[in-house]
Amino acid sequence: MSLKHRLSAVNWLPIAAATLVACILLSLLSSSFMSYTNLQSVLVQASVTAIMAIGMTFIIVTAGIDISVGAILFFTSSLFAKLMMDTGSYTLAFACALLCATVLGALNGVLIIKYKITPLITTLATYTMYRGMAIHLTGAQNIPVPREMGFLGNGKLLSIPVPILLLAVVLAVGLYLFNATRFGLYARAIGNSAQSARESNLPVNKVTVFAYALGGITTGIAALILLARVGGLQSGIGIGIEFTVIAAVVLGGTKLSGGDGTIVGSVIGAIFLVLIDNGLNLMNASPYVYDIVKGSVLLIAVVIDKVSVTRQQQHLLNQRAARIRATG
Amino acid sequence: MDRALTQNPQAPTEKARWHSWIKQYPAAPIIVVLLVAFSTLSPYFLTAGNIESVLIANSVIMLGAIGMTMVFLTGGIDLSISTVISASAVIAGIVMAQTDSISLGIATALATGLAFGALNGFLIGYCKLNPFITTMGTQLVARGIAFLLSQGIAVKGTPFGLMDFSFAVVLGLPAVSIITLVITMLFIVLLGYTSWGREVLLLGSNRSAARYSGINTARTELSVYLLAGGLAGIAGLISIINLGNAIPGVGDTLLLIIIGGVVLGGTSMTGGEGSVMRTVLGVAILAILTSGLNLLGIPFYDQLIIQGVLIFVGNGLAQHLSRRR
Amino acid sequence: MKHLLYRVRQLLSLAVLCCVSALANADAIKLGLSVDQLFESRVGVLNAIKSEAQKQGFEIIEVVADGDPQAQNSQIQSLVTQKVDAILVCAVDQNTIERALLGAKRKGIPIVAFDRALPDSRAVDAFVGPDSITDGYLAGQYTAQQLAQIDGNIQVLELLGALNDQNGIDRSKGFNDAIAELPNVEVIAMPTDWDSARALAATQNAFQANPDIKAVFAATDTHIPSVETVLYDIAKLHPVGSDQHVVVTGVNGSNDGYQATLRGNADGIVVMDLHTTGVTAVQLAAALINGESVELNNVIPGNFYTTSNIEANKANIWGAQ
Repeated sequence: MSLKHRLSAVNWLPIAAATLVACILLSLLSSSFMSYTNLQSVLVQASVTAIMAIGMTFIIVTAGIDISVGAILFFTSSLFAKLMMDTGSYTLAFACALLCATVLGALNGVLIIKYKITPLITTLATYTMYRGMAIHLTGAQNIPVPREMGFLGNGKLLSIPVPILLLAVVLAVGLYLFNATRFGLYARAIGNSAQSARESNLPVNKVTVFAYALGGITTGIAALILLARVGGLQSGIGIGIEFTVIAAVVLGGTKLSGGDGTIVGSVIGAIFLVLIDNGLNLMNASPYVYDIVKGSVLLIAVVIDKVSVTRQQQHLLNQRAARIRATG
Repeated sequence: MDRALTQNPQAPTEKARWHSWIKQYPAAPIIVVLLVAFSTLSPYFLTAGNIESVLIANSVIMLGAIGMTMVFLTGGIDLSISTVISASAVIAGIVMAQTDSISLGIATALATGLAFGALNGFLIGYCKLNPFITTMGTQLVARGIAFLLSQGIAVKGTPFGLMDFSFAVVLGLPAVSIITLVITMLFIVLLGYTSWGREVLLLGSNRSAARYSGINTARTELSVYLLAGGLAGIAGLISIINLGNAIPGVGDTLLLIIIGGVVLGGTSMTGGEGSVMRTVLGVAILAILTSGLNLLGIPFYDQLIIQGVLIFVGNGLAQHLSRRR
Repeated sequence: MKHLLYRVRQLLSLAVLCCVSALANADAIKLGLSVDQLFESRVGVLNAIKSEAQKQGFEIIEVVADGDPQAQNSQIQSLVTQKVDAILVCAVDQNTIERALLGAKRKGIPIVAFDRALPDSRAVDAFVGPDSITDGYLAGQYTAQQLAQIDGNIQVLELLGALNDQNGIDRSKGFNDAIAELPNVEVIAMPTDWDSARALAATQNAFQANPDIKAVFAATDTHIPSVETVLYDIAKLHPVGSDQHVVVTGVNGSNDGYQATLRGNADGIVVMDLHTTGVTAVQLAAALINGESVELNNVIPGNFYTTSNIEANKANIWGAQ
């Protein structure tokens, strides 16, 4: 167990190293990369996916997945913008949006445990439903949000941009839940083996629903930031973001098979993905190469990750063998 | 159910056979319900014109779904199928526009698909990389290549022979759907009645058992992704036939439909359980549903909601049936 | 079992009801409406089409392809099967629905393309839509005028639409043609896929790399609020008329663009006339059904409104209603 703990403590190291390398490369390629404002803007851009990735980490750790988060983002933003327009009440709009995001996330969890259908299929079904509901709600119209709301997107507190502060808060809560609570422990246990988690009387259902609800509420927070930054609801906003979020989590070092994960890694993974876009933008790259570069980087990253994990495991095995020899 | 068994001594075998059939094809009852409902609700549903257009529109999806079925059977996933369709179409389209040779076009489409399949298969089978994230990478690369080579716009200059082919009719059916049908049957045989098919199923249901029984799991996995890529290549070519030009974004919207079709048919994502025949039925459900809802004039967004509910209910029903004895 | 029979009977009676109501309307002229995707400006045209159709007593059968060209093919075929009297179509891709359209043509169904031209089609009887090259040119012309006094290299940021959308490509072409009249301009083009979130990130990064960008052109003015966000972030959001003002223009006519221009953060927007486009589409279809001959190309040019005159023209801006 202690071996495993030590291993999990560093499972975000590869992505951190990759991010560092990317930073060095980018600062060599573009003089404007290493400026304070650019790094700050990278963090601001990453905040939306990073916050969602934190929630997604809990889901993936239970060996689940939620591909409806993009649609939840779309629906939540639609609801918020619509309520804002119709009632003008911030309190009502904020409360309803966050509540609704949480409920939609939790609904995924409830459906999964109640009907025992694979998470991917359940959330594929809800993805389609939530998306339909969002278009139904707004009639595919764009709805502007009041300019004061921009504070969430580009305001500053203590000279730090609000999105970064929100990311920090979500990160802190996420780290606490993941590492210091029974919920975090149980989530990992479920991911390792739902069967044995059930047999040892862990509250599997409650933990699963809670994990998906966390995915929902982080999506809700991300939706509000994105809405504030974009300046209004655009029909289809958020659709497709789920794959970026999942990529961030997996790049970060969390395994899709569940049982083990890292919150910090997911955040770095999200930053890493933004760095690619940022770098290409800074270099004025041809618009057509973006996907190729992103895909290749993803492939390279997953190969490197594999190599380093294999090496780490080899190292641990060697250590263990040495210890056995020493005691033997 | 049990009472029926005791009441009628003749029934058990009938009933048991019926049960095992339903267990095998959980999508079948849904199809029957949908067919009955739509054909009573819309006078246009069962017309030749409508059936033909549904068959043509779903040929590309069907080929992609066969590939996805094989990948699912090994317990993997291939997110790149959709954009490999686009990349194959664009590359074949360019080659055909330059050379005006249909056979060269077929060869390049197939080669492009196989190349992506080989890359996926190598990385997943031999390097043991995670299928989800690996194919997410190749998905982006394939999409990028399709857009880079075409500069985002349709590749024109498809040979007239290929255009004519889109209107060809064989045995009363569009030629494109005959091709799809033949390929589908080929893969039903490959997966259901060959030792390779058994290897794939065993690999998905129990990887270590597969290894201990002497199966070269890496090679089997490579072959599955390779074939899935090849099918995507053919699908790309068929998209050119259907649409008249090679379109860089043609596959973009298909991924979730393909996955939905496979899973609705009753092939499990965790591997070892499923068949091509099930996928045929699953794809049919979605095809019938979209066609029927359109004919009934249901607004687009409500169609999405109904589709979502149906994917869910269909799957629940399938699971419920397969759990019952 | 009895329950099931009851259900079936219920279903059947519903079906009979539907058939009867369909028969009752059999005489009404039916227009098939095949749409690529639902988004704001498209819905604007659709609403105009629907209200005009209602005025003329036409029935509308609407299908949405959700961005899938193959689905659109099959949907057009299903409109043919339903024996519509004319088809109004906005293509997912201008090159992909020829087969289905030819099928309709063979059945003698007139076809009107709206919003997205089908220049190579042999099936289309009429087109009505924007003149995207001119729309882009108008914005480019204004931008060039504003930048004419500046010496040395001038950087201009262009937020492209989707790389496979003809209207996006044409707007870009028009803008670049106009701006090329200045000798010292460098256009930095960023892809957005019509996605505001991507537009936001692209604008942010472009200004990081090139802090001296003097003008921004958005292929759709729904991206202008994102541009405002970025300019605000880097303290460059100065209204029209001040020295450090960054010239911002766009094409579309959404509320986003209208408000930004009203505020003076954007210089002006090219407004598409969606209402006329929609009404004309129905009128063309009506004429074709009656066997009248119509103009093949019906271009509805956009109007460029600037901060100084946009409020006076509010009534002409579809997004501001």
